[in-house]
Amino acid sequence: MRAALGLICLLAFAARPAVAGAAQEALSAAEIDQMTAELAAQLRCPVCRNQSVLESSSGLAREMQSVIRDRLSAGETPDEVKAYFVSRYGDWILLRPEPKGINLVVYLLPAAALLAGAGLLVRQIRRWASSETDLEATVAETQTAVSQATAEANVAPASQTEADLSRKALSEEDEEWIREQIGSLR
Amino acid sequence: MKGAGRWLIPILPVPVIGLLAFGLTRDVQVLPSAIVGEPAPDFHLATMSGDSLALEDLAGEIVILNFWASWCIPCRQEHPALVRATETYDPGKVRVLGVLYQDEPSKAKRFMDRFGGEWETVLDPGTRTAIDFGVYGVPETFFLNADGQIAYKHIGPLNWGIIEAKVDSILAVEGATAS
Amino acid sequence: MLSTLGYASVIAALLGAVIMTAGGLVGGFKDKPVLADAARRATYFSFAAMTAAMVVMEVALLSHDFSVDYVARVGSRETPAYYTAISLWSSLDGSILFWGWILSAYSALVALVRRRSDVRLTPFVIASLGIVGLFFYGLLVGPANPFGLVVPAPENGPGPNPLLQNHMLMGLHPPLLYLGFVGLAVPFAFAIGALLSGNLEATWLRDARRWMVAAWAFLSLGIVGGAWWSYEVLGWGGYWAWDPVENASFLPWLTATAFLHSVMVQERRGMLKTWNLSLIIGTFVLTLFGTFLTRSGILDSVHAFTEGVIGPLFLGFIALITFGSLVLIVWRSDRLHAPGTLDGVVSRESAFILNNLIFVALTFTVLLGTVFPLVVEFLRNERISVGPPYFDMVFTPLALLLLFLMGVGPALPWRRTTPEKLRRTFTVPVILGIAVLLLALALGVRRVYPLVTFAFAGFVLGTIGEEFRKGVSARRRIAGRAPVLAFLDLLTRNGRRYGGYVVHTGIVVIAAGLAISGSWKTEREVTLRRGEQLEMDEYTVQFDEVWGREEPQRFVVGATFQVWRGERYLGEKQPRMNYYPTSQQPIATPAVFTSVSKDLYLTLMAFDNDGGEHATVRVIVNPAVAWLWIGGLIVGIGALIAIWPHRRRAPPPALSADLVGSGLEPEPAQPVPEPEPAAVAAHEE
Repeated sequence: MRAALGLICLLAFAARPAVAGAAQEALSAAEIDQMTAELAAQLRCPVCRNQSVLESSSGLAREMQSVIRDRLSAGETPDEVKAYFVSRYGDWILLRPEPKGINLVVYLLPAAALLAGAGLLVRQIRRWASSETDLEATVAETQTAVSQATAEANVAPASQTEADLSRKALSEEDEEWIREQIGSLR
Repeated sequence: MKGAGRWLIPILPVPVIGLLAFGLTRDVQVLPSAIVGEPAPDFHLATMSGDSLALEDLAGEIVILNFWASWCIPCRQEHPALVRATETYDPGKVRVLGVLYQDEPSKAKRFMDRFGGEWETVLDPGTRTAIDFGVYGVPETFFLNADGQIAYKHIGPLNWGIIEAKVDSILAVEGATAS
Repeated sequence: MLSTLGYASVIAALLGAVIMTAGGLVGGFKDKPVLADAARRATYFSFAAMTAAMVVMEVALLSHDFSVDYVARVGSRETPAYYTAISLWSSLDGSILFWGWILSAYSALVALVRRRSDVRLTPFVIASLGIVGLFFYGLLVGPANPFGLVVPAPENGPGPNPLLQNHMLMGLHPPLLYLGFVGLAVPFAFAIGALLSGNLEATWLRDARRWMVAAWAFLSLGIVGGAWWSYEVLGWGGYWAWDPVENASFLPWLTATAFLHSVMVQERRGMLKTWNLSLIIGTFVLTLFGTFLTRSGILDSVHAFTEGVIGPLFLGFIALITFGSLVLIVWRSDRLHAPGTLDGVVSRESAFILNNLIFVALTFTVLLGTVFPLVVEFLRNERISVGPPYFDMVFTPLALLLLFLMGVGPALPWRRTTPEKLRRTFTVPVILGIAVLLLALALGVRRVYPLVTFAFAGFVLGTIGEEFRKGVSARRRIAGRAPVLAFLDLLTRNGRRYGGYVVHTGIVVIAAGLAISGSWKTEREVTLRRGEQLEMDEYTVQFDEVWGREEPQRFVVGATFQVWRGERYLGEKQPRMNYYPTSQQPIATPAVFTSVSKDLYLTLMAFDNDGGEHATVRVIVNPAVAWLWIGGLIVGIGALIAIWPHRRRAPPPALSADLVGSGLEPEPAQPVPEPEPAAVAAHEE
């Protein structure tokens, strides 16, 4: 969700040194606006519930935006502006925690969990795949599938007989489809 | 799932439940401040009576710096406690100073006329000083020691007990360092 | 009077829950049909009692009977009747009353549907619903009693929370969410019932699945409705803020969706028994967790009610349910063992298993992000925030992976496949995906995530299209139906499968809408003087005037804008700020022109206090937002198709000659237990 925003953040990260360099020279008003919006989207509005400074219409959030703009115009880098807000409001003000110290957990744990889950899964799949297909189970399963072949009643009108079917030219694709129907109808 | 060890599975969620239980014990409205213990941010602002006042003018005094607005209901509630503070403490030693937060001076004057109180309030156009102090909303109060450091911060309406406790502890620390 | 009547009704409902629990458990374990039947009938009794309580509360609200505690807290004579009626769910105890009523309705429906089926399982299901009922009705009798008597009755009340009386949608999105949340208690009850009864064969699962689909559909609609509400009411121009409470409704949705896929593996292959049970139970625990978040005010959130004793009670109940369920699973673990086999690594079962891995990883991630501030505070005594930028960053890649799988899974056959078949199956979808990708590039999209989204969306639509094409052509050849009729046949005769594809289509529409609005959203904030115009995108916005209006419950300041799109005059719009006596901040009401291609979204940010000479307005041109709502609707329709009962005919005398010899010969005369179509249909309505 809001994929683009996530990406902007990533890019903002990557683009940091460049931005810092550019700040030495005078920035155009449009550039300042752009940077202000990007920064404001990363800061939490103190008087709202879970809105960013960019989104909030509250007086404080709007003043914070103009603080951001003034500081950027005065030649501060986005990082310095962020650091200013952190020094006043604490890390709470950042909508995305800085990836350092204990905060690393919230970035690394999901990835670790995903990898661990994938590892377990691969092991399990190997086990499943290597175990001989249990003949008895297969037969039982097939029987259930076929007993579900009332399905066939839904696929073909009741009057349909073997002879009728065989008269039709069934492509391989159709056959697959019928087989699929039998399985998926329950 | 084999063996007696499997009976340990049901207690796996205990840490999560414990964490949530911890969550219930605290007040989400109370936010720790990043600037407690730091020197107060500098300011130079016009007062409501037309003078101007800077942080350096407050050197040597304990300051109860109260961010407020006339439209803020809890500010009315805490007002008597501030009045009592001005009556109790020696003016040269402990001073109450208001900072007007997103409000019009005329309305603030009416508020002071109606509810009483003699202390000065400075205007904060652009809310810059409030942002400098990391204010979340009003009322919010900072206790500055004589060196201009922020000793405490209180979010929400004050009462006399809070003021007394904070001022006393600042006085105690200063007494200890003086002797 | 009303106060006493309401309280008595709630006590009666609690009594019903006691009978449900005790009768169901004893009747089930000791095999006493009389007790089991009493338990079943008690569900009707509880339902009648809760209905009475609801009616009493509505009467009290609408007649402004301030002697009733809840009315005194959320009612006011100035609030319009519509908002007074729906203020039932605007505060804590009222919403628990509403929740309890829905629970009683679901319980009664389960009892009705199963009045003649499966005497082994049903008593345990009723008992499990009774346990949930005990808790909720107990809350109403005890700490969350909305019917307390206020003496003397005040003349008037403060009215409901301003945010919750600001838009018509408040009458729609919470009930849908509640129907979804509470509905998830039913599959949970089936799971617990199956564990208690010890009969863990597939029949309970099939019934649980249908209830799950129904609840899932309501939950989906509720989530989309919530996004819509957020968009139309909160005025920030977005629709999803990763607010803890939004996450709370999303978490059970994720696990429920995982279940709806993995259940097919169990039905087909008898694998994943413990896993599916865990998903059902986890889903229900997450709904309780979500309710806990909303009701306890434990995390900062728009929705938090912040009330004292309810939080610990909820937490206790969550702990009890989790612990009890796990004990039951361990106790029955010997019956849950299923020797699984996997014939081919590239197969539909593998795709579903991978799908589950990702869904669970997403659940874990969203859960971790939601509670992480608590973890940090516990360990370090520091406050941090985990907000949208974090969630967007971690959520998007996984969600894209799921989108991709959505195009792969349905097209893979069960068990195994051959490279030749794979090539044939995926040629068209892959071409379509690449075509969409090139189109997006040609239109100037350069960012990676939107590009990937578009490509995958094309791919998935290709797969779904192919599935429908195959089905239609097969039916044409087998039954000689015309194309349109053949298409409808698929939906009516195998709704489960093809309804699922419709749901997938809706999800693709939503994903595309998210990617488009994310790529091309533009916004500006401008201060306009009277008569001044702003041109943005193809819109022209002209500011006319600022006006103020006294309403009984609030003071409204609005600004009037005239809007053109190209040459066409669209009309006037009036974004407003609403000042409620109980709220410090004004509540903005944005004004939106919606169209399929793009929305124009106006929020009043500031205005000239004296004279109304100028107004500051935030103008957002947001393309394809309507796709989210349309997609949500398609998802709902698809889910409806999937559970819509279809007539079943007698099996044909023989199967196709082509199937003979393929190991698929029918077994003679083994009746398939019928689901109960009428009841499920009634439930869906």
